Amino acid sequence: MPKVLSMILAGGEGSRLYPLTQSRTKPSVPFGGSYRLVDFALNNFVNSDLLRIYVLTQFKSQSLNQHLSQAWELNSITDTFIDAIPAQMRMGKHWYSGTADAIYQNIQFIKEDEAELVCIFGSDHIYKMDIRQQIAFHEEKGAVLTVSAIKLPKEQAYHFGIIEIDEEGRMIGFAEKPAVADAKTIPGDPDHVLASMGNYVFDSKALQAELIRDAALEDSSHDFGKDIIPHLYPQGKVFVYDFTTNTIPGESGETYWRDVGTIESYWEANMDLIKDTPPITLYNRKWPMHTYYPPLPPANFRNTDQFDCRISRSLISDGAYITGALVNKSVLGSKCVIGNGTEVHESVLIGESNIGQNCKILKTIIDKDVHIADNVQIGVDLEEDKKRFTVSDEGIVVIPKGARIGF
Amino acid sequence: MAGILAMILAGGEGSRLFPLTQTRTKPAVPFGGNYRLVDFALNNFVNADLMKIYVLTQFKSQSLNIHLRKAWRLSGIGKANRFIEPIPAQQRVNKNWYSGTADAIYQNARFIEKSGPDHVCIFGSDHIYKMDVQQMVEYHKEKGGALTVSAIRVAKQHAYHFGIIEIDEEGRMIGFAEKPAVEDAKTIPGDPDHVLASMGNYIFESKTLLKELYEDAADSESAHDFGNNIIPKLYPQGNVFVYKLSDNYIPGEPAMAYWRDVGTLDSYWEAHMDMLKPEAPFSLYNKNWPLHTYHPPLPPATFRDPDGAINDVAQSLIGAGSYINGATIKNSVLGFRSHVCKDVVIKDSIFLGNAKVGAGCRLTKVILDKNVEIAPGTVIGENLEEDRKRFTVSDEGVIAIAKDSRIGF
Repeated sequence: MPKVLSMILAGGEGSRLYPLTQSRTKPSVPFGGSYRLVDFALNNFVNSDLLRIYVLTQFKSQSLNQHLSQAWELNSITDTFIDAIPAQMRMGKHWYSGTADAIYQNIQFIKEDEAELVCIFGSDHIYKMDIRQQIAFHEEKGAVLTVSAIKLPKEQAYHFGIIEIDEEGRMIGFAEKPAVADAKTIPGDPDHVLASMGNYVFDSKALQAELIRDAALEDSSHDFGKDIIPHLYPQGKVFVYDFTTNTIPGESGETYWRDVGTIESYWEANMDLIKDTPPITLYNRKWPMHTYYPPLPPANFRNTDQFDCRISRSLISDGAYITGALVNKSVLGSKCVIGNGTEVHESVLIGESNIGQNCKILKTIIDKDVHIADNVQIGVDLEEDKKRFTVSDEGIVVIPKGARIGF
Repeated sequence: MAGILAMILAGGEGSRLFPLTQTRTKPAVPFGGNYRLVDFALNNFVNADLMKIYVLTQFKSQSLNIHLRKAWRLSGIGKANRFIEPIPAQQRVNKNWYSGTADAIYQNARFIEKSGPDHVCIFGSDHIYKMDVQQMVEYHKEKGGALTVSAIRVAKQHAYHFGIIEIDEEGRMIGFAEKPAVEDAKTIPGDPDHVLASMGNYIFESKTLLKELYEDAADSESAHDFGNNIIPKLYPQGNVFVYKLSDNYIPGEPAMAYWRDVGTLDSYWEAHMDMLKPEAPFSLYNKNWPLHTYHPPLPPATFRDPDGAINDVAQSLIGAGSYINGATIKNSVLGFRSHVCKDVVIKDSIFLGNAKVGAGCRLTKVILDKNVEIAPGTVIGENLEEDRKRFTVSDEGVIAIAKDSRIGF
């Protein structure tokens, strides 16, 4: 195994996830009751025994920094670390202009390191991946750069970098976010394209040379997808790792990878967790999902003279206090209090919220620290909800952090 | 280094909690789904910002040591002044295990001498309660005594379990009897049904403690125990004071002080049931008094509804990593990774964690230790005569199933 340095890009603004990203950067958005988006990328590295990690932060990073120090501080006598690097304007007074610029501005951390390979990964996606398998592929191919890729329906092509490969897995074409009509489909499969996951394994020397070359170009947008990959792949040393070949110990079935960049995709990925046969599970003793656990007791269920708690298809986190309520197809983060006679369906409660008695909540995302009075209905009359809340095109209501409703 | 040093006695064998103590020392016994008994004492110090803590271990301490390392290791700056460190029994003084509580401290007196605190807190770790130890420290300093003992009012019929205290109006100890017969126990003046019991929590002025320990160690007649030997010798000198737990105030806690020995299966079970009562006298949640522990990397409790079977849950705590598949759960505490299959009915029970209960089982008043697997259709707790043939059954009918058991296969 070569020596590896990992850099996780965690600066995303996540504007399409508004209002969940009103006060936090996208990688810091909570997910699945106990986690934040960044935990998925970090668990992929940690469970792959790759423990030399810089996390590059930028926008509204306070809650992310706090999470990293609470959940991910390594206490070690060996050469392992998970360190946040805030944007420091090392190369001039500007924020990162693109993904390559984010790495270029921190190139000294790569120069100072002995690593032969540098992993540059995003932190916005929900998936599990044994990164060692991509590294082994990279070594086997003798690649300068390996990009991991996943097969997606053609109509989503305009969101992604679309890749063409030869029989050996060498990249022979690349188009960043092409129009769907122009996207090159997989040979023999006209409905699908091969999309870059934005995860790169680079030879360290080649990476440094590319970054320095690109930084000097005035007309570059300093982005891996737009600038670096299009320049590199024609040299024939860029290979594409097929994510569907990745295996996780203790798991079988199809690989799962979701962008949760919009309210709808965020809601759907949460709903995936509670399906009868969930396409991704948070529970695998051979692939534990680490995160920060606040000091809280187990979820507490209370009945009343009228109702027991009726719970179906839901995730319920520590510190919950549920009294005579019905919770169905929902994900509840820590410290959710739900009152007697209330019904919650198809909703995501991020945590620390208090819902009164006899409420009805349908298909709603409730951010942290929301208080809802008794007898409130949300998600029942979307026309009414639109006057007060963000409602997505698909009819998902979003209640922002700290809201007080019905008082 | 001046200040307060804490020494927590965590060597208890806990034989009356068998089989829960078959493989672990009493302070390592899980409690309340997420916790172990020792967490309560440690939280009382940590939440009081007293963070120089030695934990004295002895019997079957491996699971306790692992827990302390995972949950209670302090990191970062100021480590010299903030630590929580286990000290295993090391036979430093001679080749004996600790013969009594005072001997346990005596054998580790060098840690006190090395650290040089003004006062030493010597606390047990077998009880369920919340106490801001800083308030007892303040009381101890204000009285200026050599020793302060914390005490709680308990019903007279329990007197034979405890050290029973008499005090004067200033809180000075004027009488002490270790585990007296009930009829001999001195009741609280004006309250003939209650006695004042020592909680086994001591704050000593350091020099006095060391002097007493050395004198006691040299006394071949002594049992080397605080209750039997040190306190009876010290209090007649007039500088032992008594701190009442009922004077301890934690914001958000009920007015009535709660302190439970969970040394038997029955008391262990009852303390769990206390938390599930509608007006619970003890709660694991208070944002002013967070209860820290080790939380394994587990997702939230997952509820499923195979064939539309909705989970009916009442007066229960359910831990992370659990899978509940269309079951009825009443008055129960299910620890981490409790896997409950369809049509199971669980009542008045406690799962310590990682249990698997097959479809259609009915469990009543059962304590399942860790890693127990129960075959589908098994009924436990409805016929105690039958259950006695297979399991430990307490006087009050609590059934305890040992760690790693496989039942009904």
